[in-house]
Amino acid sequence: MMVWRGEAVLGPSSIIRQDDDRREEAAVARAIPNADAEIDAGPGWDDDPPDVPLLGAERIGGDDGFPPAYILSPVKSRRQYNEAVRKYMGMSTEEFVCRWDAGEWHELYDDREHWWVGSLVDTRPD
Amino acid sequence: MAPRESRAAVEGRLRHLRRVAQCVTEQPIAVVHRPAPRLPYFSFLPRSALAPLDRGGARVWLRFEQEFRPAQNDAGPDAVDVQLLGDRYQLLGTEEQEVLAYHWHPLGVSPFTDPHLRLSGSLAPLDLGGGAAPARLGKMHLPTGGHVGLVTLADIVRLLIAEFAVEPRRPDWARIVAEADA
Repeated sequence: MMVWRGEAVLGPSSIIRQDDDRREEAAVARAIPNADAEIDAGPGWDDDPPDVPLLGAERIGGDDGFPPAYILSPVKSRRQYNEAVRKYMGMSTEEFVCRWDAGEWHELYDDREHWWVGSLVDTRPD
Repeated sequence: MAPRESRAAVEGRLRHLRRVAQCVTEQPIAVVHRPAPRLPYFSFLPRSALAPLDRGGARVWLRFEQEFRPAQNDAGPDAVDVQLLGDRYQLLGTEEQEVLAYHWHPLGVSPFTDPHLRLSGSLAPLDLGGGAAPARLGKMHLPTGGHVGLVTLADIVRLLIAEFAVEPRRPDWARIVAEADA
């Protein structure tokens, strides 16, 4: 099955639900108590580049002439992953992981025409 | 190993990566933590974005991921380093089409578990002459060095048979090549 970036063929049962991301984040937060505690105490919020949604990321460096780096918690990572899945697969993380685990798209894992599939699989949050 | 030491190792790696990456892009870099047993990894931020590169007035793209785990290094029992366990580096064209990619995904579903190079799929098949079938380099996974960090003869033999359509002279070639890599 061909998968086009951001244009996945969705069946009637695959309606994108914007609430998915919030439910998934809540599930992660339950599974990892205090996952946000460390990063929420980190400095640098106000200095994040405006086009990069990094709220909550802990900032490393940035005062030595080089750009800062960041440490993301599982919860923040999950949010970013959800955005990536939405962008490249046009569906929720829940649906993507479920369909991958069911055997879909395995032939695309190392396919240059669908390079995002392997990347999303290797960086899946759980 | 102490969490503080692990964190220092990760931070050290982050600082290294941002210094190197900043030579070509301003895109931020992060370490992304995941619940065990998933490994953390380094990548550009945000995950859905690519790092822009200026190339003669046009914009091409870079992305990378490095899976890792903190591990002791050879400097002593308290010395902690970052051990890479997989990586992906990709150069993408203006339309986000893959131009080339260096991959190492030993735990993925691909049969290509050693480090390899993928070239653009838009490369024209290479004429080998003599009526031989053209070599489709853009469809191959070219080895770049396995567990020993070097391209071995076994790597080349595997490439020739599995991707270059060279006919094996033994039915057990896969086992022999695997044993050579062991």
